[in-house]
Amino acid sequence: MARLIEHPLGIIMLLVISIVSVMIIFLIIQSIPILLYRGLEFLTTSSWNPVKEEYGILFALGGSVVVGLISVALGAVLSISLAVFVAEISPVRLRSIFVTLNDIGAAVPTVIYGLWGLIYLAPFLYDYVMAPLSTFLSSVLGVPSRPGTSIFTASILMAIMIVPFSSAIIREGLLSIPTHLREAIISIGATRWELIWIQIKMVKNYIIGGLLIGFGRAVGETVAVAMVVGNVIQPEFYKIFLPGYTVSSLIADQYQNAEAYTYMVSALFAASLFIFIVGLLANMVGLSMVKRR
Amino acid sequence: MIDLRSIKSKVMVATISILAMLPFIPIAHLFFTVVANGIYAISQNFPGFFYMERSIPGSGVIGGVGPYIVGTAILVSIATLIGVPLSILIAIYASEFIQSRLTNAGDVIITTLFEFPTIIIGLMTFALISVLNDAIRIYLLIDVELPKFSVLSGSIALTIVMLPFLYVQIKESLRSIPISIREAAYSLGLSRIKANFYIFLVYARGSIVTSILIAISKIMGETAPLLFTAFGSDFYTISDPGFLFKPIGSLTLAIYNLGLSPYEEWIATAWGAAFILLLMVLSLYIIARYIARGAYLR
Repeated sequence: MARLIEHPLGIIMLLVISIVSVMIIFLIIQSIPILLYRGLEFLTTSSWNPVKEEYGILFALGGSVVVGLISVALGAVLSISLAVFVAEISPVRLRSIFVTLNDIGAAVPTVIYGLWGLIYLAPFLYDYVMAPLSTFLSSVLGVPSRPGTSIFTASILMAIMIVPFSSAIIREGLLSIPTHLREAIISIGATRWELIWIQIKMVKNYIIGGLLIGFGRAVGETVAVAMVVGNVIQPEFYKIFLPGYTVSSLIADQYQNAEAYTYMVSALFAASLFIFIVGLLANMVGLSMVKRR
Repeated sequence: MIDLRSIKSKVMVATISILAMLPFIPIAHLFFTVVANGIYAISQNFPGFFYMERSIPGSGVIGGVGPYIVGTAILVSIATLIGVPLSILIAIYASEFIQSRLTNAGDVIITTLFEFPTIIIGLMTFALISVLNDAIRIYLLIDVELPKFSVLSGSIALTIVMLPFLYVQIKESLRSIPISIREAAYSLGLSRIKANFYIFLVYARGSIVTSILIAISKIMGETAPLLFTAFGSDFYTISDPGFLFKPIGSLTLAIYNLGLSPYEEWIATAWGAAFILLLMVLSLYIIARYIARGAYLR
């Protein structure tokens, strides 16, 4: 039987593994008190009243999922187009310029996206999208208010932020298609669009993988969303023109006074555990979609 | 004859090209506004912007971001000093003992960490220190509290953010070393540690330095893991001998807090901070890419 530690360096590896696992376990331990205290109501009610020690995070979980879904839906169209454009349509000489621009978009710190979203994107979306649309959709989407911070704004900002990541992964997939397959497709008389469409279908797994990473980022992103989502407890989280909360922005907004209340720290920990579970579920659904085909 | 297929092809290719250019519009606008607003804010209080503390709201004076620059520098340096050696050591282990159960466990745990939103890493650090405090109080019966909001916990959180990225990158660089080089090194009779430090790390230095620089630029721009750990402070704390155990500010926390404030002076300060941060992150990123290109040409 092989020994567990083959070399003194293994001790450091073991140390890192134990510290990280201990931290994950502590995260779970810290979220137990609120679950014992509130039970299932923690997930199924929309109330956040630390003074009465009432915590229910349905509004924030809903907000996170809505932001994740809208931004991935928008990001899917844009990132697939961008990846196809770079890999297939743009002149080869310009390709590295687009790749660099794309990667720089991914390297910008998220808090800078948040500042830009708060000062420029939110008022722009209010003036040109939300206010005009709300004249006849206000019963479904809610009536937007002046600064323009809303769940919708957060979704658009996240779509902008996930495109560089998703499209980089999809691009990798497209560039990894062997040349002889592309030549074979062209040789049977396919038009350019048919060539692109066949290749898109070939890299389906990369597309699902890239979009799942985007969903994970949209659900987990904290400060950028916290700056544009409005931070209002909004039980009707599906009315996307109203300000709301996501789980991460709830944590970012509430951490400063968390220790003043008995259960609030625990409630924030449990909330973070549930967004991790949402991300994990999305990954599992995505992987099963990949396997079925 | 009208060829429907070629018309459809042309229309679709044009649509894709237009859609592909859309994401660049907001990013270009973001760069333009950060540079314009940032330079404007800095020019209002020229050298002072880099060392002064934030101004009093309503005074009409734009203060400075001195404490935040110092905070970011301290947090990132400590995290790098812990994170880089640690990830090099475990990456060497993982590249030498591919079949080891420990390597498999490390791969699973560390790549799981990669998927965690960074806010959870901040919470995990907070939880670690809380539970340690409870343990000290209950089992050691001494009245010592590890500070939850401090430079140290902020640096630990940033270390954990950079660890998975560095581990994966350095492990891949070491594993891609040609087998002939490995055999040559071991045929000299070098020990595993000597072979790695004298030969393999040097051989793969280009890609390893690139990953380290990219990791530093990543943690420099992190805000979420610092919320529950470094907590933020608007003043110079470095003159205090115990500053490692006290909260500290950073450029990212400052952009978040000042940007959300209702005061014009503070929002202008946030733009200045954003400009400095963007300049720092992107210059690291560009140096990293330059080194990477050199490494491939070598």
